[in-house]
Amino acid sequence: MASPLKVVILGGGTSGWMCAAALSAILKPGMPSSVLDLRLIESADIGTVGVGEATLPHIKEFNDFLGINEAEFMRKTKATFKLGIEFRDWGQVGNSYIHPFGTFGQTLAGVEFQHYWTRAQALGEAASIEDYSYAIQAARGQKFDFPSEDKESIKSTFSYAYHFDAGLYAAFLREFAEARGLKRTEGKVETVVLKPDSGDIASLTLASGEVIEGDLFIDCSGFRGLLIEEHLHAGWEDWSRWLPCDRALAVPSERTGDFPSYTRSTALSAGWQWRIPLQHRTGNGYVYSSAFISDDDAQKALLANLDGAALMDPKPLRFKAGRRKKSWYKNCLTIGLSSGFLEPLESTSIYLVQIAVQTLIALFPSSKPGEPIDDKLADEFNRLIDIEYERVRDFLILHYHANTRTDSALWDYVRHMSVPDSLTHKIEQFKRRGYVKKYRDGLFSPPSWLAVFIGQGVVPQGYDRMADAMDDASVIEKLADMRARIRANVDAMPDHADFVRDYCFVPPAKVMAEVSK
Amino acid sequence: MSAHKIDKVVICGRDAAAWLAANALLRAFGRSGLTVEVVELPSLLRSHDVLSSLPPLEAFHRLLGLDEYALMKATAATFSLGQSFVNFARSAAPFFHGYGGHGAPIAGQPFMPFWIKARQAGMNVALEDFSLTAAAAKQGRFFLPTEAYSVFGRTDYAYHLKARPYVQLLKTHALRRGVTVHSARFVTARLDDAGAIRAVVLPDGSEVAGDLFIDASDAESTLLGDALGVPFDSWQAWFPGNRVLTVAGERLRSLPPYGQVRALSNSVLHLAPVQDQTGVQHVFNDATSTDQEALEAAALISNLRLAPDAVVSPLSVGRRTSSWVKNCIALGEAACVLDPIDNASLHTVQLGLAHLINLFPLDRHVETEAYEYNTQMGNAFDRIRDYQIGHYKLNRIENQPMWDSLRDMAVPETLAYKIDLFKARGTVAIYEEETFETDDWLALFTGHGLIPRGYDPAIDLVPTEQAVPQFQRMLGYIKAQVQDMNSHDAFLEMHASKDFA
Repeated sequence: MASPLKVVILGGGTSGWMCAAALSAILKPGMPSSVLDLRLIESADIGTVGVGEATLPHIKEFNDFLGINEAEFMRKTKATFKLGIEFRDWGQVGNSYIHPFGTFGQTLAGVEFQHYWTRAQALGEAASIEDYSYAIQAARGQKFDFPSEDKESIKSTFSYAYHFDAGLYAAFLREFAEARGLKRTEGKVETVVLKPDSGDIASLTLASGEVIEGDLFIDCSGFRGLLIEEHLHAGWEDWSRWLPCDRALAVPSERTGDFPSYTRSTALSAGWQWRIPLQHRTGNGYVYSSAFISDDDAQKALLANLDGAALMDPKPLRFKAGRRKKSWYKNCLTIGLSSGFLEPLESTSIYLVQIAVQTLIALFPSSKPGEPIDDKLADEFNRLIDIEYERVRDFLILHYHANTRTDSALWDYVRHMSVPDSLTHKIEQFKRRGYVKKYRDGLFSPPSWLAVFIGQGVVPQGYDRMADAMDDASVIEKLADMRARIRANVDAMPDHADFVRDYCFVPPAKVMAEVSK
Repeated sequence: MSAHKIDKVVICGRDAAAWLAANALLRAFGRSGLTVEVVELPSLLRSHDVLSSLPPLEAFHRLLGLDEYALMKATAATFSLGQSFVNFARSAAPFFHGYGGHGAPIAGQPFMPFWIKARQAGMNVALEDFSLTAAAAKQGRFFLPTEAYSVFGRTDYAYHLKARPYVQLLKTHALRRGVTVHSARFVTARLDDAGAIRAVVLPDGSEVAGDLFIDASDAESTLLGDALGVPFDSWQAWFPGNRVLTVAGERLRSLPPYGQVRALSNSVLHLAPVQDQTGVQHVFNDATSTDQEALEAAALISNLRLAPDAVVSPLSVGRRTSSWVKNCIALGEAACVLDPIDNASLHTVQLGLAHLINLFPLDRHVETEAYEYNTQMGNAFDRIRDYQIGHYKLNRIENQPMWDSLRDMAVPETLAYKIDLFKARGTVAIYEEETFETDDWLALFTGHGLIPRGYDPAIDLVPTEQAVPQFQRMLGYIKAQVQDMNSHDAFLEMHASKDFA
């Protein structure tokens, strides 16, 4: 057996531990026959960002792939279920819509629902589009149940994600990875030694003097990109002209009586505020643009908008929207914030980590230790990751750009800014005829675009003519039937609070006991 | 300006493109009041022309309400499980592009990396030997895709069918649906001030007006190319042939459920069996061969008795820079002329119609739809082009100047990238709008002899003792299944035999 490839993960935040856990699960570094010698270096002195507490449904695939028990994971991370995101005051003040993890209505005779809905609207016979989404109705009612496996059932028309404590998730994954052979080293990188010929990273020297050699280095060091930028100078592509928010203040607050099964994002004058319900507290934060508000005013606005009492002083964060020009450059690959930053408006941070980890696993080098890694692997990794970032970018920009708010300079700016061509065309297609192209790779699927377009006030002027094959009465009847079935089924669903309590709740007393341990 | 709904589509053209369009548009929009008229140009088909399809045609026919076996009987059709490529390497056996997957997963991991690993270690079993589709085809068997076979992923089939009766059948079907037909030897177009087509003008001066015009005039591109002046982007630099000889050969005694593509020293010979004859196409270049020489070579190499009425037509591959300009949409060869090598020409008509129906304009302000259509169709054409260039670029016919220079040519970056990635890793970069999917690319690459340098190392965790018996099991399964299948001849006899009485 050839000796295994030496892989070094630098950084132990959510990104580092997701990567470590997945590589440990798949390539089993603890086994004598493994192709992988894996270690992770982290420093207790360096704080992790860990605000990405709201996720997308893909996280379930990731956990399942690792073989993680859901109820145990939810208990250990104080998790709740999530059926979507409520956007308040987006588009215009007073507005509220939900981007659900689920579809709208049904495709009939090969024609997507929105076309019948637009037609019924013209007839004056359509309800709000939210009434045709099972996931939205369940979220509005603060309900939860698992989706049905029966594809014919209306209860199969949604999926779900979680809200969890990202710090606890990282700890959970650390335990998982270490049990499977990962070596963890506590320490701070002092120097980085490059190979003179190739410019590849040869080794890291820690403050302790320990020299750590590797074939592949995974930079999970956060925004700064300690390896990829400070030493390899891979370069940064700035997107802040479209996504001007560059700061955030994060603060946990006390739980209140509500137990929502959705994330909330409320648009404010210079950005937006998140509200993420966990079992034991609520996560909050104000993402804002420093060009449009001072830090003090942002803090005041945040604290004035909490449901419950703040549990600590708000923690400031700084960032810039954009991405690394090459996510994988030389023998250094980036995962998480070192690779790019897109504000957590659509809970994509952990998804972007996940997709990078999965892409790395699919393209894991088969080279022998000491040999150069085939650069075609990096090319393909970068191609696929670039698609992911660009798709998310366009989707986020849409939330800002499609607004009629005239109450602040930020909203005026984003409404008038020019957006990427790829987004301009998407908006035109939707406005004219409710058309959303289904991509082969990358987020988001057509129902997500539909939810946000309509939620932001981009309403189709026309619809697919194929929908005219059905007569008016049938269209009206079918829509009414979908709506009635959704309402009846949602009414019978358990409350989210009850569901979590029965499935994975950690009583406060036990929380205290665990914390004090 | 007030929006004006599309009330009437005028299809101007001939043969399969025109009549597929008439059927598809009536099927989609007939009930919402769309009128379809066809201005039919003289057919370019001769009695023995054969069309070769790709697998999606079956589903398209179903959508149009065409009964499969009735259609096959009427068109003397045969099934095709893929294509056999002969002599594309000096000293290698023919390879097969089957319309199906390769191998079954081992220990939950995809088959391909196991195959690469075994191949690197000297195993001498081709990837196609793990394809149920290819194995059945090579033994003259035929089967319909069923759940039971899905262990090897997708299995699928296409057709070879006689063009004239096929067009006749489509026309009859469309007439029954209520289409109006005008015949014309040739047409011109009358444009309005904005440069859009107002009407098609017939030789007697009469006009057929409409809101939207479909150019189905084959490579002539009468409306899009001639009337609207949309430029043609030539791909000829990547393809060896500029003339096609078409002739009927005698019927093969046993009908192979596949087409054959044979590389000759300066040209490519295609054989497509139908129930009463064999379609022969010889794609050659006038720089190296006269028409007479091309005919002699076709007779000699095919070893078939050929009909006395061979025809030769020029071939110029490439595409119009846009397929949809103003109120005119070109379908099939009017938009893109392909090399015959992968039987994709008829498929481009289907692709164009599927996209057009999806993006059928709401009114006469078609810019938004046209933009999206052109983006998607442009990409779709270019991806088919890449696949086809792959055959020429990857040839291993040495010391033949034409093949040597094809091997040395620079190819489009999208294809170069795919080849490089495959060589490195054995995976396929799939872009938006691919007609040929991963399995097709794997058949192409491995068929032309590429063996990747690397593979997914995760499979090294599966012990060789565990993996190797799985290979044997798969080959055994394929052998047993194929033995139980009907021969293609018997299957046709049972279901789709043309009545020659």
